[in-house]
Amino acid sequence: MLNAAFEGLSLIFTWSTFIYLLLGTLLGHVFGVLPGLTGSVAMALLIPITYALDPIQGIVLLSSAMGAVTFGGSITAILFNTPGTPNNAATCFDGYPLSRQGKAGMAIGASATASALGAIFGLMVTVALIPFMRTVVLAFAPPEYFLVAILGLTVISAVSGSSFIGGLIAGFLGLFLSTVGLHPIAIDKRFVFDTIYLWDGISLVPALIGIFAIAEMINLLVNVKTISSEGTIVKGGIWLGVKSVFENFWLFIRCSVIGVLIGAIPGIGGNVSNFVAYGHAVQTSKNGKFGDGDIRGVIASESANDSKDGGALMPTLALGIPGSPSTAVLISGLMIHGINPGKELFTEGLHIVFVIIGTLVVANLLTSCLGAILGSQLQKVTTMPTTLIAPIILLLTLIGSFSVRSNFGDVIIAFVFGLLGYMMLKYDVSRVPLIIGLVLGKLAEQNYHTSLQMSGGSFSIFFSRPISIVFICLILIFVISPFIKRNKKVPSSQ
Amino acid sequence: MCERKYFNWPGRDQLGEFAFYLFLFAGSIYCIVEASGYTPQGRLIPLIVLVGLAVLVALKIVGILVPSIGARIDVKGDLLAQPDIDISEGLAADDKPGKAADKQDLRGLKRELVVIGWFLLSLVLIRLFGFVFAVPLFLFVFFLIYARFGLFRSLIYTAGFYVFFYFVFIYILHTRFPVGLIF
Repeated sequence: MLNAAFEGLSLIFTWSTFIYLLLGTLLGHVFGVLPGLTGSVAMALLIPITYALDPIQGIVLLSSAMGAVTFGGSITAILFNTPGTPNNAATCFDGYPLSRQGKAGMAIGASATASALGAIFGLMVTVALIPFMRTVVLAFAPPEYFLVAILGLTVISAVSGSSFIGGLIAGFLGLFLSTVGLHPIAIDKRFVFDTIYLWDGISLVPALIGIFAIAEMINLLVNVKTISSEGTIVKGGIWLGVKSVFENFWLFIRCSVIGVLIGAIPGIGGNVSNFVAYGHAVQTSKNGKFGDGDIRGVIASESANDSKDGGALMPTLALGIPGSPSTAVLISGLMIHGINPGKELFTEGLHIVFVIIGTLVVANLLTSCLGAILGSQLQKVTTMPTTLIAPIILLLTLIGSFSVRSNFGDVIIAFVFGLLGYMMLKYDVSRVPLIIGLVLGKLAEQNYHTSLQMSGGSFSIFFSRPISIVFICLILIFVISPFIKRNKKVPSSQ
Repeated sequence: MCERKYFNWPGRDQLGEFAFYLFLFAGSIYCIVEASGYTPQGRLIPLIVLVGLAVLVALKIVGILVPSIGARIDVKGDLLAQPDIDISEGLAADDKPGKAADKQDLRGLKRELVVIGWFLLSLVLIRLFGFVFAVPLFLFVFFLIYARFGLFRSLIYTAGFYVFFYFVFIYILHTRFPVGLIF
């Protein structure tokens, strides 16, 4: 294995290959920053270019773009409340309030550090688990998927903001919206109102763009002159952000573990890991102002977000089952070059596994360094007049919404969700639970029905599997811990 | 001290919020009726969710109409007890834009409608002229009329963004933007 690692790494660090690593990293970074354009889009666009390349160069180009996208998406999440990719949604919750306080640099510094270290952590775990990958991945089935979704939904109560009922309303609304479209198992076309567009359900990217970005742009133009409330920025923020990750290192480790575990479950991936990690940070913190600009919110979301790439590689490379849309494109890229995931890859082509892992590590380090270096300049955007920023972001979000599927319906969805998001913002209803409900609702419903089909209608399937029992325990801990914490606080405050 | 009333018909500052929840309530009831026609598997989750949603929204409406109950059932139930926010402080003071916007006079409401109108205009222009023409047109008109940047600055900003838009989305990504209804 050491020989393969050495061979893989030496292949990356040749000039002819390293240049593609730089190119992929830069493109991934740009795609991450642009709202709506996700890692899978960037990689899909790069695939035709890889035809003409040597297999190793092609793999390096694709892997570097995949590694760079995730952090790039956090920059717009922090600066404009506009997640560059859906995986960065939870970064908005505290990243943007920090920008409003003139601490965008601190948030970018924390995001860059948590992203780079999170990715390295995730990939190290992947390397350590190479011998056991098959067993780990095959241990998950629909009952576990269902319970992971429920675990994510328990976060709703923790992120409800100042109005508990308002938060629950948003969560239920999100869950309801996730049921729009064709039922995953039955034949019903639900709440489509004779619109073919809605058969596929509500697309996540335009909904996310609308609820955060467009709503925020309306709000900025109506109420604010600059994003940074004071019109000033805190100096030296980048290093404060970097330091904050080490000050909260235990939280970083826990959230990275969450990222790896959820990333390893095929079909769930980054959309879920950042919410679960964020919820974990909220529920386990003794104090703090989550949602109002707590740096731990950024650390939790970004560490899980990047470590999940390592986790997602496990099913991708070991079984050929993509753990996320990006890894699905990666598999296509590998197969185009005659490399098939599975047992053969881990015996004869182990050095290729290390090429991918090494590229992801270097790409993450490079993109985070780039973000940290540019962060002090990027944060100046928050002091620009909103009359300049808002229309540009609005157009970028509308173009981004369209570009994902080349469907004008997505533009309308983004706009409608923008209005809904503004209403929620105006009437103090947290928007976070709505997105959590929307992301996890479909996953929960589909796997609930599939599990019951597997068991012939018996609910015992959720309680009889070892991993399910672990998840049930986690759910109970997540639900009960806030009450225990509250009861502890009451006597001390008295 | 403000005198508390048992029943509180929403005033101008709460009318928008009241209408928002009323709309949600009516929508959820409509969808419950719609869902009842689906197959048992298809309606199970939507019905559970929608009934929960309707109950929660009803509680919120009751909280607005009867502030004493609202204070008991929600953290932020008693809206009468909320301190007034001076509109001149804007969001900078509180970071809760809705409250500031809600308390402001008709001028604030007008500004809100104007901004939403501009956003709607962008959508209409895209539909009529397609992205390629609507993007610079909207941006230029917005900078010139709403932002009042002046002709030269508006042109420069528009041209700068258009070059970026063209380079990234058309030249590199080859995005096939649809033509508008007019051209």
